[in-house]
Amino acid sequence: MKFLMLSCLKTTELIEKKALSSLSLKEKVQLIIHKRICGACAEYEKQSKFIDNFLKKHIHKTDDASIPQSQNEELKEKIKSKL
Amino acid sequence: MPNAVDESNIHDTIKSWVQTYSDALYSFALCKTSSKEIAEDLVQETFLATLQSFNNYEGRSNPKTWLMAILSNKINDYHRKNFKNPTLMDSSIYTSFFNENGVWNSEQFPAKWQESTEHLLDNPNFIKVFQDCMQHLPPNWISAIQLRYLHEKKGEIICQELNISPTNYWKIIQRAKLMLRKCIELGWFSK
Repeated sequence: MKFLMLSCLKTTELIEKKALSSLSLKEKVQLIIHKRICGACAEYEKQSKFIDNFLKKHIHKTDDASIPQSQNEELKEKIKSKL
Repeated sequence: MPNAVDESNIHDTIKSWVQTYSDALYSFALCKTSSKEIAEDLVQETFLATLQSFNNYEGRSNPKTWLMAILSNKINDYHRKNFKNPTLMDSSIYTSFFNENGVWNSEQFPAKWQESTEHLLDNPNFIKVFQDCMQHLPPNWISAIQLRYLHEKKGEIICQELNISPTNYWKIIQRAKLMLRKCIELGWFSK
C-alpha cells in the first residue's frame, strides 16, 4: 500500500495537474486514496475548483460591470501630453 | 501622407478618446495585470498605437471596442513575454505551507469554508477581495494564471507556447493557488 501513499504537498500538485492535463492510473488511485483519508486535501480540491470557476468567469469579462472601476486623471494628462 | 489639418484632427479625436475611455481601459488593464505601473504603460501604449494606425480604424466600430481590442492584445503580449523566463522561485513557499513530511502545517490546514460559494462569483465585495489577493502574487505567476484561463487551453499547449516544462507549469499554478486560497480565506471566509 505504501507506494500508493501521497504527501499533502504532492496531492495539491496532482490536483492542479489533473485540471491542466491528465493523471496516470497510478496517480488517479493515489489521489482518491489520499482524499479519502485527508479531509484537508479534499477541502483544498473543492476550494481550488471554486478558484478556477471564479477565474474562468472573470478573466473573459470585458464589460465594465464586472470590473472595479478606477479613475486615473494623472494618466490622462500624461498620455495627452505625449500625443 | 495626411495633411496638417488631418493630423490635428486625429490628435483632437484621440485626445477626446483619452478623456472618455482611459479610465475604463485602465481599470481593465489593472484587473488583468494586477499592477498599477504596468496597466498605465499598456494604456499609454494603446493610445500611442491608435495614433499610428488611425487610418485603419475608419470608424468601423465603436472607438471603445477598437481600443479594448488593441489593449487586450497588448495585455496578452505582456503576459507571454513576462512568462517567457519564469523564475521558478525558491521553494520557501512550500515550507510555509507544509512540514518536512509534506503534511499541512497546522495553521495552514485548509478549513471548511462556512459559506456557500455559489453566489460569490458575482458579489462585488468578494471580487474586490479576490483581486487584491491576485495583486499579492509575483508578476509572472499572475501571467501564468492569466494565460491559463484566457485561452482555456490545455496545459500542454501553453507549455509549448511558453517553452516551459509541464511540471514547472503546474507547480507554478499550484503555488499560486496555495497563496490565493489562503489569502481569500483570510480576507473573506474567516472575517
